[in-house]
Amino acid sequence: MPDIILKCDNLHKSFRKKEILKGVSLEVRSGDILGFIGPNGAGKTTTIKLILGLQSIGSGNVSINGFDIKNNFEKAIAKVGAIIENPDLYMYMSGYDNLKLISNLYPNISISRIDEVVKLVGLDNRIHDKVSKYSLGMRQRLGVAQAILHKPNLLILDEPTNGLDPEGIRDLRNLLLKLAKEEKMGILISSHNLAELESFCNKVCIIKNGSVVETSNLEDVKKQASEGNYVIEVDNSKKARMVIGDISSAMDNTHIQVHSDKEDIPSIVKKLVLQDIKVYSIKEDVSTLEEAFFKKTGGNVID
Amino acid sequence: MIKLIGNEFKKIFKKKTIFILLAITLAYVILTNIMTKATSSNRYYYYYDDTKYYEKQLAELNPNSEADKSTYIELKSSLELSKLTAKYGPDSWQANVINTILPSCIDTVVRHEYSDEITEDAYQKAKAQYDEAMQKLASNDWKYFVNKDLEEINNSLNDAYAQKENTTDKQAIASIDTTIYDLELKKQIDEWRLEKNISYAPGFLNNALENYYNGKIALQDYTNKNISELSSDELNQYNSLLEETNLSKYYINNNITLESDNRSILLNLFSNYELFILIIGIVIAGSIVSEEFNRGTIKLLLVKPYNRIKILLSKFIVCMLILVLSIVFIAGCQLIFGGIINGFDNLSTPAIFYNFDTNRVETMNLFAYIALIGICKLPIYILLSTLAFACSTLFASTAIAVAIPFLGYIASSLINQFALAYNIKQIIYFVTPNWDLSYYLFGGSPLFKGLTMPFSIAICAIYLVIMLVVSCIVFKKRDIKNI
Repeated sequence: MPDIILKCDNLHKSFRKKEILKGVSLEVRSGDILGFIGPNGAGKTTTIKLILGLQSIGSGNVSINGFDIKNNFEKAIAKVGAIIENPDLYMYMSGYDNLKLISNLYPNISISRIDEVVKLVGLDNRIHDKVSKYSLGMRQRLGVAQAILHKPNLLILDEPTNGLDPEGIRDLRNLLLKLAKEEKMGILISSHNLAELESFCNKVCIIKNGSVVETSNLEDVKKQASEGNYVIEVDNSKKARMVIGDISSAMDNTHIQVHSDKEDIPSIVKKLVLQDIKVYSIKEDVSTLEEAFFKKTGGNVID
Repeated sequence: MIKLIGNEFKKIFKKKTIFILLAITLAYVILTNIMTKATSSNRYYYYYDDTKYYEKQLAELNPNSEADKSTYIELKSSLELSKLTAKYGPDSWQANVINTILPSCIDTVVRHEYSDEITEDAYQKAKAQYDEAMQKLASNDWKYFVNKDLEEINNSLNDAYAQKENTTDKQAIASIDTTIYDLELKKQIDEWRLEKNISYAPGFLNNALENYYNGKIALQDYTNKNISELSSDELNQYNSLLEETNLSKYYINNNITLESDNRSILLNLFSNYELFILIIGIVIAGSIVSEEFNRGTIKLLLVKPYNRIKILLSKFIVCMLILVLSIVFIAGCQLIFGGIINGFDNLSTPAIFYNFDTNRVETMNLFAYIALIGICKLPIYILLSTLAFACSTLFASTAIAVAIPFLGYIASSLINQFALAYNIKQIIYFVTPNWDLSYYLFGGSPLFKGLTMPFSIAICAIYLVIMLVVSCIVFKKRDIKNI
């Protein structure tokens, strides 16, 4: 089992009697990319702020690399890189100056490390421009650069794909995968862009109304959501549905969705064939994370 | 923490704000020096040649009509005086003599011409006096007038002493004493004129003579009073008179002429440029925390491996350093640009001041004196900057953090006056009467009775610590909300 880098234990947080977090627990191990998903107002950003010590913890514990964030803040935060909400940097300075400023606050960051990180996020051409002239996507890249500058072993990214173009998202994905694999970094990443997260993470944590409704490996979540669903391509879906009955539903004129055990599929096909319905293809419906998400959260209700 | 401080400096000096402030300050310094130079050429009074006005008025009057006669004579004398003044120029010593000594004899001469009320005898005497004066004016012999004045004073003095011998009435003696005091003063001044070669021409030393005379006359009111029983208002007045006369005497005795130039502006550096020191200090302190909140960069800063108290204190230290730097910057600008505009002369002349403890005029190296005043004024700047800093931390709003200290600064003298007017004793525990330590320098009296330097320092320190502790607690506990 790889080491646990971040461990949140039963976090509670209230603002003026309104409970925002109702016992959030999660952990990130080295090499993990944990997708932290949930609808607006579910408490994602609040959880991240609690983890980073930006807000006081109502009850519960956060420990990073074995150090408690409340009692041992400086040591706990030393190997953490983060972007919170927006990549807020000093707009009146160049990207390079921003990075230098941050490098001053950590021991042993050389100039060559800055150059290396700049290259890694693909900002080499514009790094000496003022940040106020950057697009949102470029600021995201700079945000990532400042977060990984000091070689943290825990990276916390709040909505990092905001404003990134497809190429930027691809670059970020490759970067994160590389960091997790080669540097054994643990990464916590929150996003609304579920399709994107799907290609990033190996684990997910779904949060709704301040409680975690699901934590497991990405594959398990998807499997759970897609178990026993098959899509059959036929020439006439209406007729086919009448043959199979209630366990099926027509998707369009030529596709029906069937919910059944794997063992029953051959008999269903046999029924269709005997009724002279043409069967072109059968495939297991591996639903996307997005569908799993909607299933788990039951839509987006902010309360 | 050194690195945090270094970073804060970089943030400040990467922004335009500080440079705009410095540029405005520099422009103001230069303007002040140019204005000083421009006004120093005709600084004593505005001269207006009114000869034409009198001529026009006279043309409308008939000297032979009884109704116009007295006005006509008055205007005619005035015309004569202004003609003479114009002839020698308003800045000449002659102008001064013409307007102080000559009016009576000119009036007599003119009056004789148009009316019969002047006897031939008096006229002849006045005429002789007039002619002689004209001659002496023309030959630039001002000492003649001094000697003449001295002669008259000596005569009057002899009379007065004689009168005093023959009087026993106490009231009369007191009145004669007053006259003698006045005459002795005038005599002293005339003797100084001769001895130190100070003509009647407008100038620093001539002014000093006048100030000395006026000051001494005003001080006479205090001779019978017990100084320790004076109210603080009266005491301040008394002290300023004492200072004025002693300094004037010192200038006269040592033949020191002080011009309004680079040196004088430097000497009053803190009263001239106080507002600019405060603007720089308050704007920086008022934005250093709130700006991070408003731009959202506070999150970036707070997830670095430094605890919040260290982050806040390093920002505070930077504010204090900026304050000191701004004072140094302003002093440097004044020294350099003031020197270029008004010259570097007189910088070796020491600061001259009156010490109320030793009752003597003392001198101090100019720059040491400026530094001393600066240290004494520092509590004002530190406390107002700290107020801005605390507001910035508490409200996360730059506008409030800049406005409140300025309102406090503007209101501070009002608060003090209010407390003085209504005799509110508790004011001594407030910060405004305590934060200007320069009152205590050289035996000076504090704004309120009973205040002492250590007490004031303690009060200032208490206020400083309270503001800092509150800021630290609030900053430490603060939840960083969505920005």
